[in-house]
Amino acid sequence: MVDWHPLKRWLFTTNHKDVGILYLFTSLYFFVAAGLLALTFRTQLALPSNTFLQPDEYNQAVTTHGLLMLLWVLTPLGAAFANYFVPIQIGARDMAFPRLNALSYWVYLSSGLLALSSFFASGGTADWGWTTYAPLNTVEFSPQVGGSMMGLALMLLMASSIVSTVNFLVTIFRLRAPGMSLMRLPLFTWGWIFTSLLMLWAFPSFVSALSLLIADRAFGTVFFTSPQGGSLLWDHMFWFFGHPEVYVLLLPGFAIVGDLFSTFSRRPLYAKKIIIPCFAIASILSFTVWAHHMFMTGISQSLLEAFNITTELISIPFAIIVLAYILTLRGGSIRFTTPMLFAVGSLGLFIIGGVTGVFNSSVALDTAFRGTFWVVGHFHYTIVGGGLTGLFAGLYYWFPKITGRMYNERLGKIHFVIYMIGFNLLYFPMHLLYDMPRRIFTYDASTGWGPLNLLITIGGFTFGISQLIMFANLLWSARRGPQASQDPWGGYSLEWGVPSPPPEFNFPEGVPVVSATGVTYRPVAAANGGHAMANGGHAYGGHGGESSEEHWSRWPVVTAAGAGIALWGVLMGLPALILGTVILAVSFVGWGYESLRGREAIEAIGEKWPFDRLENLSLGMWLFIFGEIAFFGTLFGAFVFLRMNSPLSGFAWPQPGSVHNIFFGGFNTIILLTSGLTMVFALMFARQGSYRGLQGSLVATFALGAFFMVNKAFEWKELFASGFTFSTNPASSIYYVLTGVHGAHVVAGLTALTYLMVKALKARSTTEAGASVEIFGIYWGMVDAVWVFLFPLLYLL
Amino acid sequence: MIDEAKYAAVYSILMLGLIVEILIAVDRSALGAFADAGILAIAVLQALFIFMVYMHGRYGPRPVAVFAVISLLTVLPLFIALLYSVVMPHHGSLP
Amino acid sequence: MPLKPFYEERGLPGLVPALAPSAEQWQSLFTLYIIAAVIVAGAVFVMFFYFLAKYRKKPGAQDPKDAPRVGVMADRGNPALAAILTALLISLFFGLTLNTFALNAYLQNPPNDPNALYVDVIGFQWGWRFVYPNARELIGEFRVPEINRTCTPGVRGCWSGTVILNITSADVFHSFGIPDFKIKRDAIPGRVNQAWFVAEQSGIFPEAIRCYELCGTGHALMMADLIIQSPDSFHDWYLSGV
Repeated sequence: MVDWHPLKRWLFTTNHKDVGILYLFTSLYFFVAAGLLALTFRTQLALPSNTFLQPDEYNQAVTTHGLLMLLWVLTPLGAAFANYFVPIQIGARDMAFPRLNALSYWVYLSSGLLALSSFFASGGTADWGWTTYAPLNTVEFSPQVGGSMMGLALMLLMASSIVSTVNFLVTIFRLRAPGMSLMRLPLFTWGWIFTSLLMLWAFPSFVSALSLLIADRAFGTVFFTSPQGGSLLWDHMFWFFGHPEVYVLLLPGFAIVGDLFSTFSRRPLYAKKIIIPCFAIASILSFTVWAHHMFMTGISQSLLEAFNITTELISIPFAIIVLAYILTLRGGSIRFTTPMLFAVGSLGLFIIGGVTGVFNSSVALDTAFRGTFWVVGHFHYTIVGGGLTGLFAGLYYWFPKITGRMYNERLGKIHFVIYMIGFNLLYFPMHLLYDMPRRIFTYDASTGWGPLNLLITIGGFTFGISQLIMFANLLWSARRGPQASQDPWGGYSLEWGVPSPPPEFNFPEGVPVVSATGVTYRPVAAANGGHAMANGGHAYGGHGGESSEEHWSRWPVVTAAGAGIALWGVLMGLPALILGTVILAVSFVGWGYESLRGREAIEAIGEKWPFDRLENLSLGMWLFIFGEIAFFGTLFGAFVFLRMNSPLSGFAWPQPGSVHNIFFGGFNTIILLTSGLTMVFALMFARQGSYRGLQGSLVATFALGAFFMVNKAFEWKELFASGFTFSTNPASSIYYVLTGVHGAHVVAGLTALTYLMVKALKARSTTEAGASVEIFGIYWGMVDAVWVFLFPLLYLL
Repeated sequence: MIDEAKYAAVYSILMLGLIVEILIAVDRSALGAFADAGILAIAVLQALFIFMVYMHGRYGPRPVAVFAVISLLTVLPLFIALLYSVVMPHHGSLP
Repeated sequence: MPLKPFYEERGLPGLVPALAPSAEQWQSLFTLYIIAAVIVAGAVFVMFFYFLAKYRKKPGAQDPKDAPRVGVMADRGNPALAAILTALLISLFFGLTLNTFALNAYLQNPPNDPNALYVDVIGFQWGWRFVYPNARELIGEFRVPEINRTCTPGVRGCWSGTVILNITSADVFHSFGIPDFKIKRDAIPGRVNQAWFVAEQSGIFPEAIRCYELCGTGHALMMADLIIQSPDSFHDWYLSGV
């Protein structure tokens, strides 16, 4: 690696491998934290009528354990490997947007610190379970400020994940090496594609649910306190995110298991051409099964039976994948080193979890299972057994590649044995407790649940202690372990063709060219001509005048710190809020001084199908708009729910025209749509090379957008004066949230527009500005398209 | 010049749609039960025009259409289920 | 009747003699799923472990000819297997689903029984309130009559033993469950959900009713005793306290 001061390297790095290591350490840190929390409440449950924890402490520990493990441990641990290995596996020098990648990490860390700090706020943190059911999550029943802080931390984390998702998808689709067709990608990269797509669509739904929750908690809107919204609205919004989320947790580890089965049995993966479509089908189906979490809510039985069937169907692609993995072993010569042992363990545990999942798909059996330890047992078998065990397999597998040293095999095997014993002692008895409610802090000896709970707690401590063996092994081996060769396992993905650890730009011998017979390296001079030009004459590999200054930016860490401090300040006081906002503003100006494409200028060099015709930045913007559609789509869904549910629960929705002025709203619509016209004219002028036209159109767009916001502010003020406030009724609440988030998008757009205008004024040329105008134009079109729905929904219907 | 004409034409379509929407909303009797559906249909058409003409940049409308369809397909089940779970009768109201 | 320790009366979880038809039916559906699960998972595990044992690396063995090499993304396999597996699983699910839907219809739809006892169940932080048709209220205990086979349908003044619950919540999301009857339904503020059961043997079952959704610090203590009485003694109690 480059010989930088360590502080500069780790704070300012934009190198995907360094970012991967940062993710790895941070997620393992949260793993220890969340694991210790689990041990505290397992201690509490070890004996009947125990008093180790108070009820509220218990609830906070359970909630934080769940949220940390799901969102701050498992996904980021997968992201650690994805950061380190996806670019190498596809044959790229780095991610498409290295600075955004660093930003994702720092925002992730800052959200995690915000989540942890909520523990120390007065009244403690969120205590409503990770599912955050309404209306327990409202101020009336959970007033503590730590709960709101956890909500903000979750939103910040979602922002980080969405940015990271866009980055990965652009990278994988656009930056593949010559000959690296999609079907040649290793399974892990495929798993990460689907993980990213799931995150891209599911996480924005959670952001919209959290927006409503935070609006309720901070501004007194009535989404979850009124019977028109309430429990069912939250259930739908949450589980629409929540079920895809569990596949987000599973897929990375599950995909690693496939690659490892192939590598360690010395056979190609069986039926890879079936496995990948099965991943796709499972991902799509995962958006159609969420109501199996709502079997007992008493909603329409035919709807629930439909969800019963989709839930069964989703087990079919997984069954096919499991069978293909097992058939991979056939005719092989299996080496049972530690990574393979963990892979075998992961698949075995996942099979058990999958089978109990079929029980959970039954709408009738759920009368016993819902809210009991059976469910806890089931999802730990899938997520911990399948997902985490697979990720640990990956950790042992890639350890020699990351560190250049070998771990201790004997300790690895001891870890595996204790891990499996602890795991099964911990989670299997839970299935026998299918009468015992989840999340109870105590139980009476007369229930007869004592012995099994003691067993579970013993298993929990065994499982926890086994991880210490791994940490000791890996930490010691990273410094003192024997040197590892470049390819100790005989792997098939490209990272095994480069030195351990890989050099800064991954491929020292030139551009990897993949064909049916293997990989060759095209020396840089011959490599695709234009590529060497694209990054200012720098070589593709680690030699030939490469500048070590390429891989850093100071702004990601600053922005993330500003965002974290500002959000902390929202709840904890004005000084922090001001400080955070100032830091954010400074960082935005700082980003503005860097080139839009960054120092690294990572360009496409090989396979780009199916996005040959889009550029990195515009593909990124389109993917972001995917997420926006899910975000606004879920909010519109909430609107529809409130609107249709109101007459059934005794609230007369205001007649159109009775609250809002149709003609004023129409006038404002005209203004926004006109700004859409001036925006496309700006693009047209940029393309025609008309500098004055471009400048004039941008200024007109800005002026119209600003005028729209002024009108909006005027409208809000009038409505407030007439007694139509945040908390008046569901109609007012959804009006303010929808126009509010849309207005926030307009303001964000105006900020970006300011950059563009400054750039256009300074550059005095249209070619430089053309690309950014185009990308901004897509965004502005989306803002218009959203309003085209908002106007009739809020004013006319 | 062709671009200019295209953009201006779409702009007039958007404006026309807006006027028709408002007219329908002000006098619902003309369309009766179809008033709401008519307004929503106009909104969908407006969004479609923005998507296909204003947002495609220089790549042509096809990738844009694909993106739009995929995204809408993802949120569609949520809408159906949300509607269904409130509109279908449940056991009763508050005692 | 003296209060016995709960588990002495009922045995360990899962081994309970059925107290109600709903529990009996649930148990038989569960058994069906268990049998299917054991057969399917058993077959998969046998194949898995057989392959692991048979194809382990033998001392001095060479790699197979198509062993992975860097950059070679070989493919093999027979897609027909996926189709066969899909067909097998769908036919298995078909059977399981039909049984599930039958039981669901039974659990979801209270019988049209003119002699049923209707009780409003209101969850609150933290307890259960039971309101009887004559406005008699109980908190923390729930009295119901056991099945009365002599009660003629339509004749006033006797309860058949069918108990229909209208479940709601006064504050947050609760979930009303009687594990012995395999009855559960969410108690949601602003909504009324129905559940029903018939009890087949009288007795006192302390803390047999629980909340199954985290509802705050008192969640673990949100219980009620279930008291199943003979028709006559229930009748006496019902009339005594108005």
